[in-house]
This record gives sequence, C-alpha cells and structure tokens, in this order.
Amino acid sequence: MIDTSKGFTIVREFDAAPQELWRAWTDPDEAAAWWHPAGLHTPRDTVAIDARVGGRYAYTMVNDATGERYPTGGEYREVVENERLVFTWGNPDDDPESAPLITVTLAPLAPGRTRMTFDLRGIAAAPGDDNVYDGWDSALDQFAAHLRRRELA
Amino acid sequence: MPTADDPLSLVFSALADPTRRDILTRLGSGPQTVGELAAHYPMSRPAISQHLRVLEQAGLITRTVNAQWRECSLRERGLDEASRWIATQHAEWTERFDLLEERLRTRRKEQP
Repeated sequence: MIDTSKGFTIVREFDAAPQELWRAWTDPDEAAAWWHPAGLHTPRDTVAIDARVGGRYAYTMVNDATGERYPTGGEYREVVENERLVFTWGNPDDDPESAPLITVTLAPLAPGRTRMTFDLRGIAAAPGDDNVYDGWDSALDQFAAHLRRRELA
Repeated sequence: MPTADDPLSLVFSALADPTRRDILTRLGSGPQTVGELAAHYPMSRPAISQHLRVLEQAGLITRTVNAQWRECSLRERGLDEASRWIATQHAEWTERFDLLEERLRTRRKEQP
C-alpha cells in the first residue's frame, strides 16, 4: 500500500526478460518511447543517458497539445546491470541531493517474465552514507514551484 | 485490497488524466470559474464539467455558486500537498509503465 507521507511503490510484471527491461531504462532509443505520462512525449534528441555510478541522465518531456517543455534529469547512484538501478529524479538544474530518489529492481520470475519493483521516495538522497534525513518538505516545495512554473510557462 | 470507490482510489483515478492534473495545477493559484478554466482547453464545456465532476467526487475540489458563476477551488482538506504530489506521481508513472508494456510488446513482434 502507498505510504502517502514519503513515497510509493509500484510492482508490475512484464512479459520480457530482465535484459529487455534494463535496456528500456538505460538505452536512449528505448527511453524516449515511454519516459513520459499520457499527453506528453519525449523527443529522442533530448535524451542523454550515462548509466554509471555518478553518471547523469537528462530528457525533456513535451506537452502534445501546447508544446510546453519539461526538462528532467538526475544522477545514477547504483547501477547493477539487469538487476538494480538507483537514481535521483527531478529538475536538472536542482541540487540532486534534494531530489526524489527512484529505485528500480528487476527480478526474473520465469524465462521471459520479470517482476519490476519501482520505488519513489521524496526524501533527500544522501550519497555514500546512511544519514537519510527527511528532505521531503524541500522536495515538495521544489515540485510545487516546478508545477507553478509549468503553469506560467 | 481497496475497492474501486474508496477515497484513495477515487483520488488516483481522478489524477490519472493529464487534463484533470492540469486543472488542479491551475486552481493552485486561486479559484476560477468554469468558464475561465474551460478557456484553457481545446474541449467542450460539458467535457470540462465532466472532469470537474470527477475531481469533486474525489474530494479534490469544491464548486460553489458565486452570484451567477460557478466557481471552482482546490479543496484544502481533500489531500494535502504532499499526498497530492504522491498521487499525481503514482498516476503518471502508471501511465509510463503502460507505455513501456506497449513498447516491449512492439519490440517482441519485430523480432524474427
């Protein structure tokens, strides 16, 4: 169930091998096909991915109807091929330390079937130590401001 | 498992639509009349009213009759900002995973 105070987890099973899902997350050609919610799209030439620990990624979502652009990006924290990907997720200009943290875990269930666990936490991601402090308020402020900018854009 | 009409499910399905999320964002800066809201979207007034009805049933907005205008405003107690953000992100990522599933299916068909 969803922890409405700090984040949420979505678990989904796919008819695909872990390698295919890994590619979906780390290959720009694949990512451009789905890294946006309904009503937006991600132009392929806006996607850049450097899936190494400390590497960054960036992409820009574009509103189908209005053409408004929403640049998004972050930094990779853990990269275990075909198994686990941890990265910050937010506005590319913001400090990654205060951005929400996403953890994607892939578990093979049977040949050609994989369970993907997606977890998004609004707490600040402190690298290299276990001093996870609750930066949720500032993350929220940022996103509220981000939403307002969207509206004004 | 929650039933389809428990409060949180109503919120999630209300937020699983880009127009409704956009309406909430607009109302974040203050109440607006239905006419003011409708002017932003390339759809009919009845279609906008339907979206507003879904948002109202989810407890996310209130509609009041102010003189002859129906005014819409965010319902502060509906969800606090944190919960609203979480619910929006949950809805948006679910939409992404629908696209991912479609992409994987397409790639599978392309394979010999």
